[in-house]
Amino acid sequence: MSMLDKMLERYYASRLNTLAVTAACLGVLGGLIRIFWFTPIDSYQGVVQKIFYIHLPCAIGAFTAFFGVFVASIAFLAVRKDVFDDLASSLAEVGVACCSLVLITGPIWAKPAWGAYWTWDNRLTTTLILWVLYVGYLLLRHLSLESEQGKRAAAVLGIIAFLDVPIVRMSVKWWRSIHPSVLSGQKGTGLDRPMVETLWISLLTFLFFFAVLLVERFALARAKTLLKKVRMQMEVC
Amino acid sequence: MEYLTAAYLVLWAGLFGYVLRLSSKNAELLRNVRILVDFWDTKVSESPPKKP
Repeated sequence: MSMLDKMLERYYASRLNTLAVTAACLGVLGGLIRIFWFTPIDSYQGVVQKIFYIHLPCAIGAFTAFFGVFVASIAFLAVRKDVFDDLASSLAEVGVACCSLVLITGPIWAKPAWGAYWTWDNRLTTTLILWVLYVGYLLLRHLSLESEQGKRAAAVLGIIAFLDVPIVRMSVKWWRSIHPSVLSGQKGTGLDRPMVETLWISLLTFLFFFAVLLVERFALARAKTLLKKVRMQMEVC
Repeated sequence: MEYLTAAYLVLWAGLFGYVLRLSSKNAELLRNVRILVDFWDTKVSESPPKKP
């Protein structure tokens, strides 16, 4: 039993899962209430700008999850333990969910801001490529029927697909883009102090919520793998 | 707009209820799988080795 399995067992045995899910739910609800009722409306874009407090945390959640897939895939190829493969697949699913939310909330914001739901802008196109890459990753896992060869191929794809993440991040700097770069590291992002505070609250609560979802998905993946192992041993006996 | 926002928050609340239910079911599933794995490990370790 790996260290991650022991941690998972302790997490559920101590009923920390109920506490974590409740905290995550209340956190996001609190964050949403702050976004809608206690954050000033943008003087230029109006109320539609508020979607930004959901759009950005989803994007950061997706990038973090894909970085996790990258690390877990390397670990799987290095030590060939199922636990890393399960972790990579769980992270990829959470990442794709976050990336899908980015691709849904983006066009909703783009229509009133730019006058079109979609433009083939560098940031938008590279994000779409990222989503397609990781949907392909999940399809590969599904179609390879969890064979050892399929797991290895998925790990290689998980490493290669991550190369798109820095491209998405840097696309607004490398090429001309109409997409705003809020986290550029430069002073003057155009956000007032209450807006920045709301952004941080939203970021932390959404990331915590995604982490809780990841633990749930990982627990399910581990249960499936353990059952598969027992079934294989039964067939041998 | 207020109604839309309220509907959106209710949707989130529903989603959270679902995640909470999913989590308790996951805990139960993991507990049962652990019992099965432990039982099987004990059974295998107690059973005599097969004759060649």
